[in-house]
Amino acid sequence: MVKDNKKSYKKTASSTPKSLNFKNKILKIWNNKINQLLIKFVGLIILFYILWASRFFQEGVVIPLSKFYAQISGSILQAVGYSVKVVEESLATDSFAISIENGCDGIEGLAIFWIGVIIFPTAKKDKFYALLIGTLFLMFLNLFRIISLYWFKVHIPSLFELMHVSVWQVLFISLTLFTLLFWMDWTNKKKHINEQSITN
Amino acid sequence: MNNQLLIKRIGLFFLLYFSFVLLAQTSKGKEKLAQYYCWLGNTFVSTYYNGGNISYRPITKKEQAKFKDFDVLVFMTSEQQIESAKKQARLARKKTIDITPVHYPANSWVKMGIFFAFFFSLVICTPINWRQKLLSVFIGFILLSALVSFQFWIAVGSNINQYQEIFSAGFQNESIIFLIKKLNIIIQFMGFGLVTALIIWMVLCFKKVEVARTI
Repeated sequence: MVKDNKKSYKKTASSTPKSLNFKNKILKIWNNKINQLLIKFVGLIILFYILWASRFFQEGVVIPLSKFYAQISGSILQAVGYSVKVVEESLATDSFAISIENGCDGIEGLAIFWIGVIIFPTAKKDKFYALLIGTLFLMFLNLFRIISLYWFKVHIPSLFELMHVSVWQVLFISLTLFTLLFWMDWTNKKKHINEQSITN
Repeated sequence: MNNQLLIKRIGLFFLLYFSFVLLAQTSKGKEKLAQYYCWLGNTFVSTYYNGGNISYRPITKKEQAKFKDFDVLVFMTSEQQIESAKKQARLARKKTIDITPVHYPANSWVKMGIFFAFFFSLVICTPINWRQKLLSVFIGFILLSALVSFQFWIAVGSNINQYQEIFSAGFQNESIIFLIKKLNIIIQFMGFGLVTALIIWMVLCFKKVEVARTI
């Protein structure tokens, strides 16, 4: 009886067209929730980079944001006693100037965080607060990055390049990722507590 | 996942990453990175569409003062450039030919090393078993090397078209040139490499982590 069943199974499997098997495999991959999230994440990141490379985005978002960071960090530095001038998106002194360019504007970190929050399956209210608080946190973090880099340029110039490239670039992306992971974990726990209270 | 466990893993990540940074700063670390970077370039992007020739070599100790740490030199010539120099030498009845290759520095840490350090730290701090970690490190190493080779190809494509008059090589189609230039802006950006390393880590490791299982 068991043998017969096996035979009939083999027969149906071999008679299935290859395209249908391929379609089933794709469906199987897509039906996995983690795969769905990863595919959406990668797709949206590609879309972000296409948008980011456009002149419209560079002129309409990147430059104004860089100028905003320069203004705020310049004001903070002036308030604590540094004689710094803000020129467009640069912080200048008599001996040097640091320019806030692509990569130092924190846009990539924001994009990772926003995409992660938007695609994560949870309540809209939670997403809204995450976007609001997360954006503020990442912008504050970027301000801290700019001010700390200025500090290094003034006091320990030999470490500026190391801090700029090896430390802050990775620190910013990792802190974005860890914030996202903490938030995902928090929403999951909240969901489980809610489910438990409903069953009780 | 337990919050305490997550904080421990984050601590481990930073410990590992900064250890890799320190390791890379040693003279042996710099030398090995530059060597591997040159090997990738010379192995996968030594010729270019329509006659381009590219070679990569580490900076010598004598040249070091002119360049940054981790820099390597990229030299670009083309078969057309060599042929034209030969022709000119024949006409001038010279026995030697003069070729001036275009060369520029490329930083092996910014364009490669940092991605590896970031990726390896992420994988090692992920709570998965050592077999999975080793496999992920191996696959990630190959994928990131492929990314670096692709970066070379796009950068060379963009540069060779800038010097069309010298090389007479590279793509002729305007749309392809436009696409390569646009892609070059994105792909040469350090953040792109870090985000790619992050995505590779997500694809290889994320499914096996407890946080992901609860989704």
